Amino acid sequence: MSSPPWRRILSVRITFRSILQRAVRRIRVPCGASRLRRCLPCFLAWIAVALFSSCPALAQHPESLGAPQALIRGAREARLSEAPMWHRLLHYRKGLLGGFASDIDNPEFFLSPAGRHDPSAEIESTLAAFFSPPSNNPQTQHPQCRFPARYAWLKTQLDFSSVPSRPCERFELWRARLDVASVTLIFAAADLSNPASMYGHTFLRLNRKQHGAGEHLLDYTVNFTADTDVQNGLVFAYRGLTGGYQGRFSTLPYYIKVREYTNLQNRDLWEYDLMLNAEQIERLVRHLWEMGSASFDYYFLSENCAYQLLPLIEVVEPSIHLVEQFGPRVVPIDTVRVLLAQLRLHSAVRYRPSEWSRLSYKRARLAPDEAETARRLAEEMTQAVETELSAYPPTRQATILDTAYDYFQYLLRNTPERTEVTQDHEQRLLLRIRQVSPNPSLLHPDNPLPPPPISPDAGHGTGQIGIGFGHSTDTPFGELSIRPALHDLAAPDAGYLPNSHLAMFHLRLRYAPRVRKAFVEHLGLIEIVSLHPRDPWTTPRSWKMNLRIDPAKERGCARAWRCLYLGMNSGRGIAMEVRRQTGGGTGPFSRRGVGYLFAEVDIGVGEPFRRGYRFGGGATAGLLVDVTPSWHIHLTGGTLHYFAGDVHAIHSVAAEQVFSVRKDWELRLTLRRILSDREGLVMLNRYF
Amino acid sequence: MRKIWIFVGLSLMASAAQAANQHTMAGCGLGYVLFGREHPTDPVLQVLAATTNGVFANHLFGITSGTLGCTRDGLIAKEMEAEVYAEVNFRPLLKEMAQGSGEYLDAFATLLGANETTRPELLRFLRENYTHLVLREEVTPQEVVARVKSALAAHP
Repeated sequence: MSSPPWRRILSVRITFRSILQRAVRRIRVPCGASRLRRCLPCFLAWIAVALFSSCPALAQHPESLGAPQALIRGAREARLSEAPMWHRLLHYRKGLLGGFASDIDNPEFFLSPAGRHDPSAEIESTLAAFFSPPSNNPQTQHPQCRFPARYAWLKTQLDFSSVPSRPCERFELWRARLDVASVTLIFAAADLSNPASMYGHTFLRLNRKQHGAGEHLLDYTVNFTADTDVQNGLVFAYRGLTGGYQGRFSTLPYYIKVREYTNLQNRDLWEYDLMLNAEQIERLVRHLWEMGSASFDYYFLSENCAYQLLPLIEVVEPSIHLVEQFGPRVVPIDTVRVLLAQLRLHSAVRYRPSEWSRLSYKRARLAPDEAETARRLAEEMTQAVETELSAYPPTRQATILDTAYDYFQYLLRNTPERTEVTQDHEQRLLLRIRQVSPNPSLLHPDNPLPPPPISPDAGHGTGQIGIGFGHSTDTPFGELSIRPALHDLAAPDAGYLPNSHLAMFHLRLRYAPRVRKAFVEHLGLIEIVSLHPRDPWTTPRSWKMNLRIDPAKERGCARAWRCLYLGMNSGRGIAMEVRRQTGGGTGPFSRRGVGYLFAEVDIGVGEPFRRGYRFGGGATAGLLVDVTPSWHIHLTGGTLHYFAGDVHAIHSVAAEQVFSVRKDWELRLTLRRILSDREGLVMLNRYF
Repeated sequence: MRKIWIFVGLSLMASAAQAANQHTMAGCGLGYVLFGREHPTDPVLQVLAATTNGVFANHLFGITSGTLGCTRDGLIAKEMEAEVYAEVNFRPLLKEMAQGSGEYLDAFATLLGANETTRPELLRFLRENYTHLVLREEVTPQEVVARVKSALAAHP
């Protein structure tokens, strides 16, 4: 399969770019001058309105003319346009240079042409629009119906007795079908192979009042996603990362999301019930309808799916503050944590395992000979296998067939060329399933759901800062380390994707007092290691890649700017569990024991190399062991041979030990040897 | 996987779906969401589907988008719910219909109009007529739902 380490690397460049563009965009937040220009017509209108409303003769006019003015006057007196709730409903944010701008980019969301930047013009246009006569076209919604949350809120603030109430058929129909009783926040676990979902994804589920068994599948979800049209991957990726796409809210049935995540992408889902009362839910639903006409610039790293749920949820309650807790970095799991802190959980978090987890758990529960029969049934339905199956008692047959059919589906998805021969095979499998299930109670003798691991919200913080000291062959040094995201192999993996490493912008600075020099030891732009221990049925690939700026110590150059080079590395490999997790992964802690081996390609570009570059390949082997719940060891050894450019070879070994002290503190001890260079380092790290 | 290395200067690109997932989707052209088989592994579609955290048939589910194929203001039209559901969950559904129980089957029963009390009978009916309903020449979601609906109409 063609794929993507290089694409991933390059995405980092785009990431830089998106940050730049974001900054520029922020600066472009309208200053006073542009506001004035944009607002000239509305300023004139305002003068006209002011004249009219202050004229006693006109105040005597029929209600249709005077009533809106009275209401607008009321809003002005109560300074409603400055109310936090109004700003939340319109998604206004204060600009860097003062003034306001709404995150929402399209004019349809505003009733005043100046509405995007002028909360008070928007409130006055909104009030006036509420009086407008109904349209002749039944598909055109009345402003009261397009903006039911604004309507409901303004109604509580002002005397709406003069406002003719309009029927809102479409909205009422929609609301009745959603029939929301409660709201669940759902976190889809990270998918390292995809930059947009490396940090996970969040969405809401609107739980219907009429619940029977299984009906959560039929509930609707609320997603913030980018609208895309381009078929060209390059253009798509570029625009996606630089805010070139518009994000919108949509409502997909939960069963589609479940299929997308647990089935097609093999990601676990975590369901957190939010504590919302009926009134708050009503506000959320009304505002969600308004969001139908809203579109936003989409940024993967900041104004992403997870971020945009926050302003949506903020409208439910003035006392909660979500958006302001985030800066330029929005990691989805952090939004979950902030939400949980402010909207308590209704019940325990629920776990919906991915298809992989389900399948390997089902397989692990079969006896070895049963598992073998299931595998053969899934791969080919011969007479011999069917006879073999018949030898088991009916309840075991049901369990074996259940597992076999799931494995059959898995194979079908992952080997498209099989589709030709499958219909007959599938029908025979289904027929057998039908035959051995004479009555439903026989079917599931045990509940084959894997026990949940520790939930993502309980993991360590997403950022890390550390301080420490060490000694290299020639000199002692102090080190400062900052890593905005996210997790590494040696860290405790509770709540994280097991056996994964994802770091971005990891900066390590050193100071050597003996030579009085501060220097960059490492800048990891992006580093990913994804280990998938082999399983008899599924053979997910383990891979790694990184893009980094390092000093070329192995070429005798360190502690100077000119020693820095840009390095890239990518590898494919295998991983194996060298020790079974205690209790099959049950219990609060399961001890890891994973070994891995990578074949890799390595490139370096920079001044320290003869001819300016080096190119080569090699291998890395490693072992990850949890000695106790708070003591983790990571051993690695590798060799790299550069055969182009600056020809040389590097051999290295390292031993890293992490002692976790509570959830967010750790002591990390590293011993490393690269060629003849030796180094020891002790770091105290804090997650935040 | 082929290892492709391209120098950074060359230019850009983001990601791709790594695992051999089939992110497939199509519109509601005939009133049905067509997932799966009709759309083989198209890498571009995979990227599209994966990279945006699910563009997956998204355009159909815009909140105030009016009537689009099988959706009304982002919700699936009542009369097509069972068909769309069967398209998306076809294989789990076939298995659970044969077994006579399961989460996917329960939800399907609800879409066919069953409630808590009538569900067990409906599930029994589907299992008893399984050969007739499912194990036929045409095993597409539409065909199966059509057969189930007409069988239910004939059986009060």
